[in-house]
Amino acid sequence: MNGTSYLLLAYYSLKESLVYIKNTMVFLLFSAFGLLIQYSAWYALYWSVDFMPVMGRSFETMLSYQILMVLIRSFTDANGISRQLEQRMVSGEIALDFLRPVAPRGMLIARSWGEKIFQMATDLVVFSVAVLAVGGIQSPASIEMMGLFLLSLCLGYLINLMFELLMGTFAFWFVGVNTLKWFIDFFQLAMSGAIVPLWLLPDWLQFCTKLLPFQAILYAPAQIYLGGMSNMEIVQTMGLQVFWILLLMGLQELLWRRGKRRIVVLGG
Amino acid sequence: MIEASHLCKNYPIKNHNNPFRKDRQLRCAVDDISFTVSPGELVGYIGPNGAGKSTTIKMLTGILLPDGGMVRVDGIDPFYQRKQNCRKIGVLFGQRSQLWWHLRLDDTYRLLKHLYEIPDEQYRKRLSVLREMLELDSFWDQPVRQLSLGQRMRGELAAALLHSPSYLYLDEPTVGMDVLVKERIRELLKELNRQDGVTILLTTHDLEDVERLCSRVMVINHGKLLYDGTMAQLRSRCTADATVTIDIQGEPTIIDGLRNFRQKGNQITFSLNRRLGEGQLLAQIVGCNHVRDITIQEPPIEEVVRDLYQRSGEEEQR
Ligand SMILES: Nc1ncnc2c1ncn2[C@@H]1O[C@H](COP(=O)(O)OP(=O)(O)OP(=O)(O)O)[C@@H](O)[C@H]1O
Ligand SMILES: [Mg+2]
Repeated sequence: MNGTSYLLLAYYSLKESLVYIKNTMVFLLFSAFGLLIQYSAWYALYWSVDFMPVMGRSFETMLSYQILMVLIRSFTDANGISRQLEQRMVSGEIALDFLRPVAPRGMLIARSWGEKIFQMATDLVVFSVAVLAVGGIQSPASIEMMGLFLLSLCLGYLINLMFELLMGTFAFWFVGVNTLKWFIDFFQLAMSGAIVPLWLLPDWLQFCTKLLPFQAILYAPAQIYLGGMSNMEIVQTMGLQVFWILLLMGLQELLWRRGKRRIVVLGG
Repeated sequence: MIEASHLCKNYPIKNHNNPFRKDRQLRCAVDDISFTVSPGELVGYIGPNGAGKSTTIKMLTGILLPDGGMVRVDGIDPFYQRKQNCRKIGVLFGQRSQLWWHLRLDDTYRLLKHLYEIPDEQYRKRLSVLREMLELDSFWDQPVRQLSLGQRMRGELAAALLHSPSYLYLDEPTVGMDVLVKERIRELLKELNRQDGVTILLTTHDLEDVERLCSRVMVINHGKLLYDGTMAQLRSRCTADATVTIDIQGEPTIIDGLRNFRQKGNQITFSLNRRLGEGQLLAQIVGCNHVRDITIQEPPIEEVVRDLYQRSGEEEQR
């Protein structure tokens, strides 16, 4: 069955990324270091001025949010699928994907899962150490909430995946998607709640983030976990997540079909 | 059966570096090419650099959508019915690796087994046959990144053949191989063709490949098909000279009109060109001498092809 070949693809790319295990150690340090900086910054803010009323939530919640974000970011990361796709198009390797009797995008995603598992494992280490260091973080109000959080986390991953695929598909038309992606990543960092929780943003900016898919990737699951949403809001949020998935998927499919026709395989 | 009719492919090219300028020119890489390859044929597809060989192969395999004309492989459109087509074809691009760089050969093969859904028994048999024929054993346990070019190419070939394709497209399969391995690959291809009836289309710059293997050859230049037929016929269309050497008993009688004439004792040598109707001269000289031995050396195949390439180049310029 083709399921096995996808598993093998993931397994092989995991094996290949283990070759670069030293690089990952650096990333691990990087990630831990970033967390430490954030901790110090928020700590200073909370205790230097009478910041509490402005923040709206307790320091514990803020801390939980930041630590939780490590896990959420790790899980919803699409592992540079757009970069991979562009690179395969530029190098002409994409030809090999189109020569197999399976879906090229399926293979791409399967390959990214190999790296993903590896990267999630390292992030889990950072997460666990952080949780132990601060003596535990908040947990969701109930088992059901936990379930909803996990569901919304998966939806968040799918949004990001579709977004990355869509970006990668642009490489059928022009090379340089990667550079564009850098700008978008920067934008995404600010608008998705990855660093600053969106509840701290002014209303008009919060409104802007609602119009973009990014907050539905990271912020939505985090809010559900921390109990910052009523049941009604949770349903709305998840509806929005599904909406984004379908929209991006549709767009991507449309572009992919057109792009496929104008593929020029370089080299040979 | 592979059918190509009126195939065309234009590549957009920019001859300036300004990314905002819209004007683009088209380069015609393949220009109105038609041919059919029957099942069981072994066809050589040759032409100088940039002739459009790889472009044609890419269209035949369904990676590239033709701008004009159509391709059918057993009645299937390789672009629109991609998956169906993929199961039947094996492809090797000499300059592109389909092996996993950091893994061993059999890792790649195991993946291919699942991608093509090859049954266990068949996979085992096929693999042991290929392993023996391509002599993969000596580097079976090394990761691909440590293989030499020739070794890797053998591994690539096995990967292309693993699912027992009935059509095989090879774009420069013998690149980087030493004489012995080349010979072995040729044997393998011949055997595949003869025993399993695999239809093979191969491009190469090594004309010996074509001479040793192919019953039929197609020559392309500037995107146009110049020649499609047997090797022997290609020879006969050639304008290059053949060299005739005649051993004569007694003193040779010489006639007028011999080009590049040389005499060494009782042996005479001169050039002969069928296209100039010089066969007549040979008859005359044989008529008026007592001939002991005669050898006609055809121009080497390199010469024949060079001649064809050159003439097509000149026609292009006019
Ligand atoms: N992606 C591309 N964009 C623009 N032009 C291209 C592209 N690919 C090929 N060409 C041009 O099309 C022509 C045919 O190229 P092709 O690769 O088919 O040649 P070839 O016969 O395989 O040559 P070689 O023997 O050197 O491999 C060449 O003139 C080449 O410059
Ligand atoms: Mg080529």
